[in-house]
Amino acid sequence: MKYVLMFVETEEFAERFRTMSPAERGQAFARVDRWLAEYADKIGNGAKLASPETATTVRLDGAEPIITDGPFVEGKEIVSGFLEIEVADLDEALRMVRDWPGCPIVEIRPPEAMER
Amino acid sequence: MTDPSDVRTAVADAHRRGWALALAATARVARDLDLAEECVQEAYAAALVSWVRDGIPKTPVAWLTTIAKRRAMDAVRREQVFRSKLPLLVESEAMEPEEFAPEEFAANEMAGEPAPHQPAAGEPAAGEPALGEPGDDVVPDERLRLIFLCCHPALAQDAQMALTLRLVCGVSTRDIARTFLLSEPTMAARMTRAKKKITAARIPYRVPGAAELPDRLSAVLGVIHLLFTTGHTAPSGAALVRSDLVDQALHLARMLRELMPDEREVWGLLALLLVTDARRATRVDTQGRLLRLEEQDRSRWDRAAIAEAHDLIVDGLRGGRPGRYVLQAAIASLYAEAPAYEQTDWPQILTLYDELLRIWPSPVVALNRTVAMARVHGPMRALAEVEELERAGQLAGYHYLPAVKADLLRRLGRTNDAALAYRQALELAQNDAERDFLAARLAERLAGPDHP
Amino acid sequence: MAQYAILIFANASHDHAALSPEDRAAHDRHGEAVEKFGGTMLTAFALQPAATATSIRGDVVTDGPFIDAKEVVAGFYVIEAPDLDAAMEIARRNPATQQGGGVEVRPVDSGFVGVPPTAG
Repeated sequence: MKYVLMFVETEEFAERFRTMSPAERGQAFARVDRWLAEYADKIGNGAKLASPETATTVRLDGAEPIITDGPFVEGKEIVSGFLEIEVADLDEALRMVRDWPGCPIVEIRPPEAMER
Repeated sequence: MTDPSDVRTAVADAHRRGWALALAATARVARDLDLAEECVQEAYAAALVSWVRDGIPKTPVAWLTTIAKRRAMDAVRREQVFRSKLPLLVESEAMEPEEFAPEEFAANEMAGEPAPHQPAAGEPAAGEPALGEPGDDVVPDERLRLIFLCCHPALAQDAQMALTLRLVCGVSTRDIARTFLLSEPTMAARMTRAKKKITAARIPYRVPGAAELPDRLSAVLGVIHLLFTTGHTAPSGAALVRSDLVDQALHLARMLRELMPDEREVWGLLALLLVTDARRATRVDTQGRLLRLEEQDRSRWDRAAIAEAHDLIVDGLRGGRPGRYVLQAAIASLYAEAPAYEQTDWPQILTLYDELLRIWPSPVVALNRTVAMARVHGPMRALAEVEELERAGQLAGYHYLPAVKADLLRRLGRTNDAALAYRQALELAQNDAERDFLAARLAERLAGPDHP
Repeated sequence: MAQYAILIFANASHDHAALSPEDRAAHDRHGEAVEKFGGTMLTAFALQPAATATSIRGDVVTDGPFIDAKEVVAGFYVIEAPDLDAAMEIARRNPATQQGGGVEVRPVDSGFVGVPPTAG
């Protein structure tokens, strides 16, 4: 069963990450790498997104597309990445996510279809 | 030795005329906006010393551009920023013309080059004319790229304005901060963030293609117009006009007209700014009080600017349906060209507003149209339209709506309603001169000791 | 070239499975737009309705999407494109955006993980 993990970053998390020393940051990355290695056989495509300040939003429900600087949802919690996993069921997905050492929030959603 | 004061004048002049050109050319070599800024800044500083010692070069801007570009190349080689920043501002190398101007770099002038560097293979050494190279002093596309980069719609509009002032006009961050009434660190952070986004999101350094051009050009015109209106009626603070912003907006509009000589909307914008600014000296009295159009001394309006605008508008109205800036300029020009306020050609203005509203259905345009409408069809009909706009709610918080309404009510003799509308306008207005004006109108409407 | 993630936001009630065959065909053709603007599709997902989501914060598991908003992420894809202008041109042509909402274009920061899942 395929699931998509959506990683959600909070303001506090981003701030804590910014103020880390290079050594601490290295350790944080190492923890994530270990997690990725541990579940390597269950992990598919994924990407870490650049910070929300680099986002550009195009609203398309008006007469003309409206382009704005910044993420679509202006809030304290922002999607920061995603990852496709292949596991037996939701419980296994939950077990994996409980070990996740990165950002504080993860949303698990089944994909409708793998389009590619 | 050249007189230092002559050199300072020459450097200031080259700053005004050539900053954008030098920066745009350097940005392509540096592939990094911060490095480019630094190198151009240094080139101007170097000129102050060099030109005193060696004389003012025949084409100062080309001198400055070459120095800034060489510094950028040196920095790129030295620090290998090339490697880490390669993705920035990338474009086809094949298209890059090397704009050394051979006749400019006679040995005596280049002897004063502040930062001697080892010429790389293929690069003309200092003092050696690079024969066979294109020798233009002006490479217009470079500046145009820079302008379109600064006004990219993926950047917030306040960042677009700040970047344009910094990168295209060469205004210091400190002065930009002061202009927008922000602290310098706040403004610096805003610009850093915008530049970071340009890099991270890879906003291209190029002039948009024909298909995107209308939209992208309208964003550029919007930024210049907003800089102008921000300066023309400073949104808050004591003085009505911030002339530095007005001057920069005019400078930008002229630059754009030089760079895009066939775009009628560019003529329209320049004309609009010229005709609006022609009244700068008469908009307030000696106490800084705002004067209505009918109270202003028309003999002190800048007739040369109005005439220049007139020619631009005549050309702009030719050949196909005019765009919004040409129409706005035409309206402003009719106000400015009337010998007296009472002799303004109101029916013609109303016709132009009808046309403008058709291509640009903005509630602000609809509100301004009611002013002409009151003259042609009387205040009653105009008031009905203002009230309709008020009900639509799109102009909530816009202080000109109650101000226009108040004036119409006053003319209809509805004093109490007028006073109420003036109070609403007063609550919403932020600029002191405008507030004083509204307060004075309110006081005129009210009589008796209860209402000082 | 650079990698961009394009996040599609739609009304929370949006259900990809309920799309008409025509709409689905339009989705399938989106690859043409990607190529037209010099891009390459790296991966794409349409998500099931937000109601199927499970969220975890610390030890707390909740039913539903974490961000309880009118408009939620309905899908996303990762493309490689020459620059932001090209990415935006591609993004705004996504048929999913014709049902309201909008798209967010964000550069991919690090490590696009391109390993196909091996577990069946």
